[in-house]
Amino acid sequence: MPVMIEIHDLWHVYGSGTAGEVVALKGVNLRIDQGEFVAIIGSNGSGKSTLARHLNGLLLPTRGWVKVCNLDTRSSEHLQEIRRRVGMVFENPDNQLVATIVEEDVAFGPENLGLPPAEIRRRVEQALETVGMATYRNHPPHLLSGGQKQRVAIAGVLAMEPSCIVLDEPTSMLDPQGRREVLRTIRGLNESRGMTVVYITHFMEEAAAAGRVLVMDDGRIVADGPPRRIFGQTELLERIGLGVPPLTRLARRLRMRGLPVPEVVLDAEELVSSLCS
Amino acid sequence: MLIEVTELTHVYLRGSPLEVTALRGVDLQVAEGEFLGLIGPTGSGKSTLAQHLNGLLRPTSGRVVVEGEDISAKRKPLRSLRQKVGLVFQYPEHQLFEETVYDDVAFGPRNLGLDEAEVKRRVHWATSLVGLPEEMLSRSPFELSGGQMRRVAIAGVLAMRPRVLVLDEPAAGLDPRGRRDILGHIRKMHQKEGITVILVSHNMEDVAELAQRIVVLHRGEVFLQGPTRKVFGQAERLRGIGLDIPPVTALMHQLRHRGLPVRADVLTVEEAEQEIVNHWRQRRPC
Repeated sequence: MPVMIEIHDLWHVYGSGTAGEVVALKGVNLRIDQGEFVAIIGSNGSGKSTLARHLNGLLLPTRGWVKVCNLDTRSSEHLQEIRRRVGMVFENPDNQLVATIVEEDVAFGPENLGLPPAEIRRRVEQALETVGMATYRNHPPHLLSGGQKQRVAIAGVLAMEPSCIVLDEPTSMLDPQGRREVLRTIRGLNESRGMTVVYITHFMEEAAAAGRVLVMDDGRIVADGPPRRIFGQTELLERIGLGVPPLTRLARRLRMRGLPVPEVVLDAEELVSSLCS
Repeated sequence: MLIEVTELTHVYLRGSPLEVTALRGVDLQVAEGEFLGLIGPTGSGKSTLAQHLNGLLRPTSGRVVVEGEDISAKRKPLRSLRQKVGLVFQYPEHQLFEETVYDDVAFGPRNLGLDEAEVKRRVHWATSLVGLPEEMLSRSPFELSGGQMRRVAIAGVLAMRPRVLVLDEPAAGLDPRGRRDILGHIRKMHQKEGITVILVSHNMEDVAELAQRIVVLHRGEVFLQGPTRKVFGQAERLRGIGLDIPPVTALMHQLRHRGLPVRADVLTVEEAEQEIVNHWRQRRPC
């Protein structure tokens, strides 16, 4: 797979030279290939959001470099192209929607690209279709549920036809149904369209659904691997304040009490079949 | 009853094209010392209900009585009420503003006109309840972590010595340790200080662990209510309105479905472990 994002020795310092100087990233090296679904976990202040904001040039490296599709974020002439290729979705759906009608909101990005009206309509239609919100095209966003608003925000990003989508805790303000909708939408994008996904979350069970999990602590990547390997490292995860998903924890405790349960369990189905085989 | 809500209806922007009925004939009783979970999908009216409990919103119709005092009456002075019912909003750390943690927590009590010795007692009591160490009191709240800032904000409400604490998503956006810490302190406030707690949350696991009783709102009406185990026994009804049951409870249902006769009304990992191990020891294969 071709490289989507490449990061070399990335450092980021906020308030450099002031009394409140904070070194948020301390030498991050990372390569994300096209089509990967990467979850980033870490405690508050570990550097997750700072890293994410480097992926589309919202923040620039203090030291080191970030390349998106081989375009270096440090050259200002690349920024517009980089931002078109890497779309960002944030935590609070209410802060991301700007128009009074859903389809206008989704059209906002492509209109700014100066595309012809027919092309804009095609993109808006397709994006709303993809997130399952086409029937709401004429609704005012403020009447939608949290999960629906987030899906509209995702559609707004898709209408830019990006190659990669970065989501920073998109479900933390949503109810259970909203969380399911957003996660299902994102998995669908990754599985059926090969969209590269970078997904920051505090919910360990959401990270367990990704193909690869990065663990951040104190500005560094301290673990990187498939969820089964990451969630097998209970001690590391406990030490940095994260822990493992509830069913992984239950399975581990059952195993310690002598039940024939695999070492790392990621979902209910695995646990049920090991107990009922 | 500490709180009695009767036939509460609230309509936003009445008479305008944007009119929305957020609450429709809601009845709710909260007993002294209770730990109540208030759940419901987005837009179900949870926050609107919470804001009636300390008089931030007035009913369009119906009554809200707190400690025998009808607070729905027009022009009722709300000051004493706001002391009785402390409301902690979502992301309360956005409302911190003082230069030190001490001053931020002391802001409310000072406004009550208390003398500085009493203010000091209250600041120490409230900050220790939320687990903020003494040496943090002289620091700027803005140098603290997200979880610590949130605890400062909760301490500021506690320092008013409310009888009831209403918390709207107190753990949202915190990492797992921050979440465990803050919920642990809320549990302690309830158990040790006997403060009545109403926890508004989207997180079914948190509510399952903490609440004794649950009220479920849906489209502005009470959809279900009862002891926590009973409410989470109704997986299909909850899922039907966009909620869910805790993952361990769902697992127990699946095990039963596959023929392992475990109890399904289990709410925590520890309970599930015990229940599964007990059945395993009896060697009854599925």
